[in-house]
Amino acid sequence: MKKLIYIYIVAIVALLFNSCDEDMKALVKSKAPTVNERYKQYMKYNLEHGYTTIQVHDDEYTVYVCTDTHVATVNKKLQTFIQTYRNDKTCPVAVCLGDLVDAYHSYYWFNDAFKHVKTIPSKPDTMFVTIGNHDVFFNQWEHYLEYWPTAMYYFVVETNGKNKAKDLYICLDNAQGTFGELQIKWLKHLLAEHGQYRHIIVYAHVNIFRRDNTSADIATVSLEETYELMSLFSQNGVEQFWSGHDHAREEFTHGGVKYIIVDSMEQENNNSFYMILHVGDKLNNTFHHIETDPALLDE
Amino acid sequence: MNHQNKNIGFTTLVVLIISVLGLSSSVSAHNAYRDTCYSVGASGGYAYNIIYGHHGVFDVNAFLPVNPHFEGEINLHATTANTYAVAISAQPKFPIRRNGKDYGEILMDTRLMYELFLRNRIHGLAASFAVGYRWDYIYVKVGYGLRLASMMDLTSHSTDNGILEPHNLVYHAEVFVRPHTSPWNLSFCVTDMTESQMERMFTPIFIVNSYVDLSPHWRLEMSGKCKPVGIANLAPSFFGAEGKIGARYRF
Repeated sequence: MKKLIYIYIVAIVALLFNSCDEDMKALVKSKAPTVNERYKQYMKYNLEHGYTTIQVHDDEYTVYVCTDTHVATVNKKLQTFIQTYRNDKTCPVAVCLGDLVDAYHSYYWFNDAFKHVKTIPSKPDTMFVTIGNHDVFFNQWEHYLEYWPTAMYYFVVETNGKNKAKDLYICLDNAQGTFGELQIKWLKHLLAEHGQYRHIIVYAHVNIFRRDNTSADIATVSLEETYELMSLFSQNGVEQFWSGHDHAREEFTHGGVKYIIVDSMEQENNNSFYMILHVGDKLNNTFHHIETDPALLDE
Repeated sequence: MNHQNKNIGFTTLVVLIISVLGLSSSVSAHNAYRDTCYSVGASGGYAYNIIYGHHGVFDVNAFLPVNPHFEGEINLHATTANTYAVAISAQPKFPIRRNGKDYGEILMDTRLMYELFLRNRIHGLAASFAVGYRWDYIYVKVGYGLRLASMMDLTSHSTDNGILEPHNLVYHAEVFVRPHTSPWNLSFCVTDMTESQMERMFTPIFIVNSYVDLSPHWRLEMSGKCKPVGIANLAPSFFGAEGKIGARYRF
């Protein structure tokens, strides 16, 4: 009887590690480089090419935010999102918080979405992205780099209305459940000059709290990292921290920082939402249900 | 999908936790052994993690096996990274005997832990309740835990309250190479709950424990811990490790 139990356990473990749907060997070792190794790649690109500044004419503007699109081969909901923010005259920039694809080299289909959507002349419509855990599964990291050279950066939005202001948006990579010591040092250095910015927002993929049972089957970062970032944000003027990963919306404020988990925007999910950040003297967040544009369903 | 704000009064929940759970059992390395002697122990060592870097860790522990059906434990933890923890526990246990033979014991493991991250000016209360089984070569436990944390310096104009993290599965699985009556032992453990921390359920901590009885009263104890992160995201990476050595006096 004992032998049968051992055989049963070994068979289950073998099946688990040979599953075709998930990189189960990554339970032990990820094929992607470590976050510190990725940091060095990011900084090489960032130092060579600098960081983006987006100019807007008014004191107020909007930022569209989506996450967890998990594109496989169908990207019609993503096309709808892109068209929506491109049509919005107040929106110069959009952000996607990671888990762009599900697995198996689907970045082609993610980028394909942009080709089908009309651009509006003379209107900036940059989309910034970062990576999630699904973007480092298998060997996806190398494929990501073919489309985006960095997943840790910052960009500034400068307003040129009556009250000139600068807003700082910082993107961090915590796809593997940790920010890494090098990235946190970089963040501390960046936030040391927080006084020059009107608003500071930080975003990454993995949520750093586990406040409800929707996070039952996913991992956050370690307790030490959560608390280190909490105090860093609170003491350096960060107003909002955005994340995805959980697929279920959450908002709460603590220590002067608003922590937001944005709903997922998967193609197959009928309960998809994106977030709009309304930026003025104050920040305001609204959430909007999204369905695939019916005109696209016939294509 | 929208979620209601789960911030609640810090003081209110502290009182609630203490009154509902009462004393709870600690889950320290010593608690894993079926020891019948009152003892006090102290240990210290080296630790490293990617946030704190290199730092020292220290623990002082008192184990109180009051009778065959009840034991208690107190653990004080401190690090040179300016973090601290105090854990208290009380553990009812039910020995299993049949025809005069011992088949281990069932435990009702509860614990209350105060975590102080002074370096971040953040503190929290963690509480857990688990049902466990302990025998000569194994010690397993599974249960429920929750944590309420808060920044210490919330200003008067802030409307923030504590951050509650409920619904945490706590677990402990340990296997020993020798029975508990042996003068030495080595064990391998995976848990999310140590004498100084209750981690989130998908951040397991891997521990190797050992002891050697130097005399009827003195025991030498050693432990090593490793904490990876991101396992449940199928993207693991190293977070930290720790090694400690200590001594225990058994009365």
